[in-house]
Amino acid sequence: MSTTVPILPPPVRKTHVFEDLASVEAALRKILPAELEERLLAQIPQWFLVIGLFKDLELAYAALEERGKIEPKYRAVLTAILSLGENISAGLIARPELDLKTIGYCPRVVDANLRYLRAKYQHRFGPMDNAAVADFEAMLESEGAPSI
Amino acid sequence: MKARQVFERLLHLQYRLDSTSPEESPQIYEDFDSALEELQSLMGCPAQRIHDALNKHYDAYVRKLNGR
Repeated sequence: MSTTVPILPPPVRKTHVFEDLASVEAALRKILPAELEERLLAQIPQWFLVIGLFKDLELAYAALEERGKIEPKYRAVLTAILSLGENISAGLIARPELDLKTIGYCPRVVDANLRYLRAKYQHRFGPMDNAAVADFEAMLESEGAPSI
Repeated sequence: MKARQVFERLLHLQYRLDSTSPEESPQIYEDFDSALEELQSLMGCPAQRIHDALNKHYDAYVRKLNGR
């Protein structure tokens, strides 16, 4: 009689999370420009410049009926800008001695724009509960409002 | 009717986020959060549902503003 050995997933190494994070960061450093960390403050105005340009793209993208060809590139640039923002935010948390005021910004503006990019990614590529949205629309309609 | 007006306001604030400079985002988010809270209170539904509904209708709103 043979016994079936259950296939179990490898155990989660919770205690190694910081080492795992360091490994991922080290691997990423081989891909990303080496000066990213050193030039943290210098990146911020450039990041805002790119966000400004992205907003023009976003409005044009929102108005597009057919997105087939541009969608992969749009997703790539949005992900890249979001990623840069996450890096800037994490860098500022890790290095509290850096003063945003020296470059004319405040943390509130960085946080708001990171929120904007996260929300934009969720908007374009996150899951949506269609049934819940339909319920919401019905509730608005039942208010006697004109149809959306 | 009130809820519908607040929903339209949220759509417009979402549009403002896309059409103004990044430096203006904190103030727009303050207004957005205030309107979101008001709509949550009027409709008695979670914020995520409102976000989803806004996202669903946003592109049509932008096209309407652009006269399409």
